[in-house]
Amino acid sequence: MGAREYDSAGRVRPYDDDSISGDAYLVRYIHGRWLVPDGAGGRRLSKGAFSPSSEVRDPYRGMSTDILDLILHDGLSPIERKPPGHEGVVKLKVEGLRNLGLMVGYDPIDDVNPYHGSVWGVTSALRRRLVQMCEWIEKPLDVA
Amino acid sequence: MTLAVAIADEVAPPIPRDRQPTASLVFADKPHWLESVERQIAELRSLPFGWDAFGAGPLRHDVLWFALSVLDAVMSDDTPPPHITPMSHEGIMLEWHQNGIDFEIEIERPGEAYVTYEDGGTGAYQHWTVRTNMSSLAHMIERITG
Repeated sequence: MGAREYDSAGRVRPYDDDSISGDAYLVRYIHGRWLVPDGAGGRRLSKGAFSPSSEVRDPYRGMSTDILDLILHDGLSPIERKPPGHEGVVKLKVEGLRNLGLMVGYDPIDDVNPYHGSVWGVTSALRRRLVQMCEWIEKPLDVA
Repeated sequence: MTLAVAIADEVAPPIPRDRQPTASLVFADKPHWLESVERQIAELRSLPFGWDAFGAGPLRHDVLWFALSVLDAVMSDDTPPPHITPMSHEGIMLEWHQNGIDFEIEIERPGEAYVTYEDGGTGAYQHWTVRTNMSSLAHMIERITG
C-alpha cells in the first residue's frame, strides 16, 4: 500500500493506492480489433485487450484504465466515454487484480483524463486471467 | 492440465526498425492466407495515435516485419490466416481460434514471441517463449490447419 509519488519526469511511480477499495472497478474500453472471430460464427475478447503501454510511452509499463467510481461521481457513464472505434466496455475488480499481485493506482493525465488509473505488473502470462475475470458493462451482441 | 514450457534459443538477427513491411519482399510466392494478412496490416498501419483510448502510439514496423518472418517460417499454403490484434504496447498478437484450439503468438519486439496454446477439448494449456527456432510453432500450426 502507499501514496502517489512522481518521478523527476512527472510520471507516477508504481504504487498500490490505499484509497482505492478492493470493491472498486477499473474500466477498459474494447477496441473493435480486440474482438476476434471465435471459430463458431461469433466473436470473443482477445487477450490482446489487456496490455500495458510501451516502454517508450511509460517506462513503468502501466496498463491504462479509467476508475469507474470517478466517472460515476461526475455523473458520467463509461459507455458514453467509449471512444470511436471501440465496441464495448469491460470492468476489472480491483480486489481481483491485487490478488494477482498487481498494483493499482490513481494516475491522472493532466488536462486529458482525470479518471485515469494504472495497473502495474501486467505480463503476457496474466492476460489470460484478466480476460477470465473481466465483466462486461457493454457487450456487443455477437460476443460470446 | 497446465504445462509451462520455456524454450531458450538463439537471438534473432536485427530487423530494420523503421522500414515499412512489404509482404512481397518476404514472400517469393503468395500463399492463400497472405491476402488477409496484408489487408489487416494495412488497416493496423492506419491506426491513429491514441487508437486504444489511452495514448498508444502506432504499431512498430519492426514488429510487423518480424511477424511476417514468423508466418513465413511456420505457415503452410492452406493454413487459415490469423487475426492480427493490435496491442497497447504497440506490438501485435497473431491469433487462431478454431477446431477447439486457441493459439496465440504475441510479439512486442522483434526477435521474440510469447506463445500460448490451449485445447478446449483436453484442457491442455501451454505457454512458452520463442526466438529464432520456430519449430514448436510449426507443430501447433499443423494442428490448426488439420
